[in-house]
Amino acid sequence: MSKKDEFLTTLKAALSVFAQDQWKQFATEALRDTEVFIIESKDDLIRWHQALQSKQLSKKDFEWLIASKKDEVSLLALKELGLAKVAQDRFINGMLDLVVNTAFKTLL
Amino acid sequence: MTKVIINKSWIKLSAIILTLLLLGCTSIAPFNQIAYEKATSVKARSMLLMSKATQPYTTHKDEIAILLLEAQQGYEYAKGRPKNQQSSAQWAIILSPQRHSLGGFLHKWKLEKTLSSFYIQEAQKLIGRHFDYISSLESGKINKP
Repeated sequence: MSKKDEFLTTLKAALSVFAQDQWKQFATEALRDTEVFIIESKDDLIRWHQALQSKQLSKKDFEWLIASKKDEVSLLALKELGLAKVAQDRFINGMLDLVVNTAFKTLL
Repeated sequence: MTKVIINKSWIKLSAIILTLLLLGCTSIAPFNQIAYEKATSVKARSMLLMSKATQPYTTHKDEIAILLLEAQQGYEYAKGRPKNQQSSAQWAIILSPQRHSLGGFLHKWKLEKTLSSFYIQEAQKLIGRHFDYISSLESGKINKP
């Protein structure tokens, strides 16, 4: 096998593993954030509804909390969008590192 | 011999080009310690001040003004950093009196004079999480030496 072929084969294998690991990690974290949000939201809504019925919470305050929940969705979405950009940067940087390192290992 | 030298030079040149590409291609600002500290510090102060909202707004007017100034500084700091749109948009939501986060809470306190303790506790949980979304985005960014 020529050095050029060895470089391409090694790089292909390394990139495949790297790509899977990188995106899998981001997807797992994003999914976990969403699941936590859903669980917390469910608990919040049950508690607020009970407080509304027992008059611990006014209708106006209840509505404010619900609206705040909507803002929380926006904040979570902005966080995930930002982290997706971080994952993209890590991916590009990691890929460039892989290409350079593989070239040094196999071609030199 | 000449071919080997050319190949080695080509690899070195490629490595330099790739390194330059690597430095130039980021789509979001790197981690910033000051930005992180601003978010956590304003969160702590907000939680403390919110717990006093059973008392009249006017009693805490000065503390509220200081907190709003600090939050505004956090927003301006985030807004001034390049490639930082998501973080500055988060601060904008938290600060706006028209939304339902810290700015909205303080606005409501001003309008209603005092707030109920159950509502305050629940709003603290929510707004605390709102700040956590800012700090966790910041801490997730790439830490450049």
